[in-house]
Amino acid sequence: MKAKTSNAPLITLALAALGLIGAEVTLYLSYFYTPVQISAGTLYVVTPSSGSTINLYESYRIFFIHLPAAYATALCCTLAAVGGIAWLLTRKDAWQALIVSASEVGLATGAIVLLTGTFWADYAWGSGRIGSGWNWEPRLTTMLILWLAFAALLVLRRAMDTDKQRAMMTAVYGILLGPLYPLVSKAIEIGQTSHPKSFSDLLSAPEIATTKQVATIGILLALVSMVALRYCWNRLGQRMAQERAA
Amino acid sequence: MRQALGTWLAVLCALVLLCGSAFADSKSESLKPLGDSPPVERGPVVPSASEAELRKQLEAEYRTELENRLAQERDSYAASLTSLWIANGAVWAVLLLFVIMQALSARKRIAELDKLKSDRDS
Amino acid sequence: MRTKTLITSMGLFAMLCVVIFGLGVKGLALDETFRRFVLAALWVCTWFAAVVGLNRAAASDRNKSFFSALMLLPFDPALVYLVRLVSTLVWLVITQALLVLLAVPMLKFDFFSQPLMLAVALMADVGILALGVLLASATGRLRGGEALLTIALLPVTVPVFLAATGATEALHTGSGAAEAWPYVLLLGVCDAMFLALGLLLFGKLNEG
Repeated sequence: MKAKTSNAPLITLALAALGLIGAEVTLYLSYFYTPVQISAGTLYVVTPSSGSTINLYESYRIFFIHLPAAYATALCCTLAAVGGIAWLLTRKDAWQALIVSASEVGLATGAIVLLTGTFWADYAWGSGRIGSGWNWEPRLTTMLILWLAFAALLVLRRAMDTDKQRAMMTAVYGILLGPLYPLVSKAIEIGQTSHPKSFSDLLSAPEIATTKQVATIGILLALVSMVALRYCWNRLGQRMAQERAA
Repeated sequence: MRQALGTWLAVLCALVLLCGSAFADSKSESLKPLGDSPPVERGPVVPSASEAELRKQLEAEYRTELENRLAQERDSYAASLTSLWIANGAVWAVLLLFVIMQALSARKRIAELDKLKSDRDS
Repeated sequence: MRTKTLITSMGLFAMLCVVIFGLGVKGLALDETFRRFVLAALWVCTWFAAVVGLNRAAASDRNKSFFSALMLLPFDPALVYLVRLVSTLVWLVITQALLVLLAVPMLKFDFFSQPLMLAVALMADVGILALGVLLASATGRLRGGEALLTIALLPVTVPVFLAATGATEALHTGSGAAEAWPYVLLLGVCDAMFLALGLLLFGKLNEG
């Protein structure tokens, strides 16, 4: 038991360090390995739903942060919902720690997605709409909602009176986060969207495809290891509370 | 409480710096597309020249134009690339700091937990 | 007596929504933009009316310890949830009806030109309240729970709003019912899902 408590943080630390190195390799690749976009036409151009081609110029490099962060946010949302269901079924404290950690990290990765997404959308498609910068693109808007839901979970949790109520509310709200995930993923299919439906044009360049793979592994590992770190930390807090109560 | 404040501060810093990196790639610093400028008058195509030669000539012209354009493009965001690197370095440092802080705090909690346990056992 | 006060306060709430909105847009010409604004205002007011209704119910529970008594009784919690849902729904629908009746002459609101809007409004109400009743049962017991309910309810009911505003837009921009059907379908899915979640989780959230 004791060995378990002292080893888990070390493993997550190692994971985090690996992830950070992966993130840095990704950044290096995304600035020096992937090519500069030359002209509108065939190369590195994304076709949004309108059908017109748009030159992304340098802005596409944001993709390598945007995409893994979006994956991580989706993962955090799923983890929170799964944690909620699992807690209601088993009533084990560990699931509570998972929901909280996933929400905390989801808040951070969601912010990364929102910021990079907003700047990217503004750069590539934004001009000429209300609120240049924030253009009410459905994918971004639903992502903002998910972000607000993560924040709401953490706020609600703090506001609860008793430990039991807190645990219940966390689990129930964690489950309510679940339906938001398909909403975000389907958002590009409803209404007018400028979010590309596929990045196959962009990924047709082998350098970009390789960098995307490194980004997905490296940055995702960095972000997921943050969940693990927070989980260890929250779990230790729970154990301390238990010891104090005993 | 102080720990939580530090954590949030670190997260906030990371976000602000991330804003920086996103801003660095600003539209004004990037080269504008060429647009629809009228085609350059090249004179009538001389029919006597063989097609292969003409192709070669056009290819060479295209290459020099492309190299020229690439050089311009590189110059146009040399500055933003530097600021991107600075911003990304800072984000990386903040993340590292966050990880180290989490590790230290976890170690403190482990020690505290052990102390609580030994107190209870004794 | 209680019903009379309630009807008066609902009427005043609806009146207030219409008047404040009218003051805010009084310089606008009666064009397409204005019509869309009025439709948007309908959804904003509906949402806040729902929050007010939920908080009002929670407050009266708290004052009379009615809720804890109800949970002690050997009823299925799902039944308690349904009763609470229906009573709040009646409140919200009446408020909404008053709102629309006031808005039709005062804001030139063309609500009745599209009969499907009635179904959309009712389905949106069910969707919002399905989660609202669930969350209000927990926040209602807390000090400052009113503000918490607002924070908690907004993000999770957004699917309902996306569907409702989407359907409204499709119905009122002339593209007709065919365009609105996917949104109505989404509303139906949201309603079913949120009702199921409410029925399943209400008992859990309020156990013990």
